[in-house]
Amino acid sequence: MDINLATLLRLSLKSLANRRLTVFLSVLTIAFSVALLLTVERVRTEARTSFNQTISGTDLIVGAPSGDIQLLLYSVFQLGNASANMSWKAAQEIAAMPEVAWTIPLALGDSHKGYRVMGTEAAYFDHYRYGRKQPLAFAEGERFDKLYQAVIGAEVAKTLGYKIGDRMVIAHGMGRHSFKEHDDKPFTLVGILKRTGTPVDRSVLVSLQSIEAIHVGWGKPAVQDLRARFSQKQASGLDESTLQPQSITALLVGINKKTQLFQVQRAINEGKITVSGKSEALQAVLPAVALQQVWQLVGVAENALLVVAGFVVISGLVGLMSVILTGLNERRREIAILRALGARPVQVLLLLVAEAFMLTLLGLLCGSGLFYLLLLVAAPWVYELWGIWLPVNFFSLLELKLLAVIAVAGLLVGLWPGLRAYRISLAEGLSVRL
Amino acid sequence: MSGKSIIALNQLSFAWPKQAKPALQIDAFQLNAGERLFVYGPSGCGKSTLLSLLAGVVVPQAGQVEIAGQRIERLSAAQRDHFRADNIGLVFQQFNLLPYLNVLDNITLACDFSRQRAATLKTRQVSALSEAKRLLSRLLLPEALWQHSVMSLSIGQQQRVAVARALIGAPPVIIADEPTSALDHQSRDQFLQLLMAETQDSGSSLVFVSHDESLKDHFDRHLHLPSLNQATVSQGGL
Repeated sequence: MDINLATLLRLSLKSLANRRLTVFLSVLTIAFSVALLLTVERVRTEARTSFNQTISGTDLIVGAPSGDIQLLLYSVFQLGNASANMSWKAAQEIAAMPEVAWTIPLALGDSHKGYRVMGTEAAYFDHYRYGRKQPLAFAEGERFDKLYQAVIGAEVAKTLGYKIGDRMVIAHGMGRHSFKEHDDKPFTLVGILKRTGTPVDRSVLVSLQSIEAIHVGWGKPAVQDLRARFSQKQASGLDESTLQPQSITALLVGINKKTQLFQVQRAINEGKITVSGKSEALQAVLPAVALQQVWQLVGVAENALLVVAGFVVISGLVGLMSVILTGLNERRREIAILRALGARPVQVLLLLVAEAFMLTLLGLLCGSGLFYLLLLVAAPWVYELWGIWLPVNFFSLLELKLLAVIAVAGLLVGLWPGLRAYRISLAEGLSVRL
Repeated sequence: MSGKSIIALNQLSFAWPKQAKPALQIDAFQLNAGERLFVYGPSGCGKSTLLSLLAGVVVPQAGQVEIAGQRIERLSAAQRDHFRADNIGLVFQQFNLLPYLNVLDNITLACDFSRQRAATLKTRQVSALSEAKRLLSRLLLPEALWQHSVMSLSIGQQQRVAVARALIGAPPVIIADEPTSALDHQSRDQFLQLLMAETQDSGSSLVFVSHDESLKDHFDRHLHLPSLNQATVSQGGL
């Protein structure tokens, strides 16, 4: 009873090929909008993944009271600056708590050619975890164990082209061209870390004592400083034990038992940490909770971007619909011919729906291609700028769902012209005369 | 051949939607198998309405339309479309062909839409393509054009391709709606001769509609539609 669908599809394809210019343009519009949508979605999720994977295994981040998000951002993501420091003694108090398994002190504020310098301890290499609780690994060299030794992240090594044994100068403050360079105290590169896909890749790691050493003689010219500066003149005569830091920026803390986590957090937040008899105001945040707060903040902007991209896709589909509708008037004759040959009005409708659907599919295909091309081209650049690595993976489930929704929308787009064609074929029958 | 009814109209009355008065009212009319009928009359006398009824695009509000033994007013819309694909070859005034198919594909398309036509060819042990080629050479269309786009053909050539499509698979009825009106005098005569010869060859009956009475002499039977149509007010000739 029914003529086969293959005939209709064949006709539809030939008809499309006959109108290839207009068809090409509407496919192009859809392709661009699909690529935009996919890109927004991919950047959004990868930014999240990248952030979520930056820190794992750390139970608490402790710093001077500011805000949960601020503390997380400057201590782990190298975004923004600390407004205040915490005392080194308080850090030692926390490390001595029976519930605390390990601590990693972080001293920030210096830079090397735009990359952050992070003063820390060997514990950093032992306890810092990223991604799925992966430890840091060395591509070359080893961890620092003396003054004026530095370990750099993979990105720093790649961009600056450094090798083990190279000498580098550290500047005070951030920025590529700092006026205050500690150039009388060059560092030796002793290790290069493997790529992690986190801000660690863009860090220069040195010991806390090194940080302290380069700052001796900076700031207020205290008697102590002058004395230290004098002693410094005698080359590496600096004794590490005399270079204990006064303060650090933040402290990453690992807890023995997860059940003790909130207890420790409360103790720190409630000022139970005392330094020479006085309680020190500190803030301890759970990384996951602080991240959640970041997402709540960023979520609005993310959704706005997605909505805009969604509207671009809709406008692409509306454009397709208008192209098909406009073409319909010129194709009344075609409809009459098909009717004369025995095509049913439903089949005429189907023809137009198939057409819209195939164009949408083509748009999806081209858009996906464009998306991957964009990903390949832009990924290194995005990484350089924001430290977010965009992997060239197959579509995620959510992306596939978005594509499926667009495909279904393509079917619906064909439905309106299809219904019009259906009505035309019923009302005009075979009697169209042009 | 004669005597066997191929088209029979009985007590037929039809009005287009939203029209108060009927466009066509015919008490009785019969066409026998193999007959070639010339239907003429001025514009608006109901010619197009008659063709729409015969093609099963519309059904009468009252009366019977019997084609090849089938009461088509009793069929569903889908069944009528199917019936038309199998039993009726249509040739329009102009623009009969799909611009995006070549000459041969336009012709074989009729078989794609009709299993019966395809089956008829099969019993004769010919393929749709070879039958299309046979018809084209009978209709004197140069072989060089067969693979061409139909847009590169002259109107006369296009009309002959349309005849080949109507005739493929030998449907019992060929309906031609002013197929010569866009042709010049010379190609019109040639077209008519070829049409006559080929419908006779396939054994199909022909209903040929025109306002041009000078073509009358080519046909066995003539029908002056205004004389048969009892609907007094002429309308509906869309």
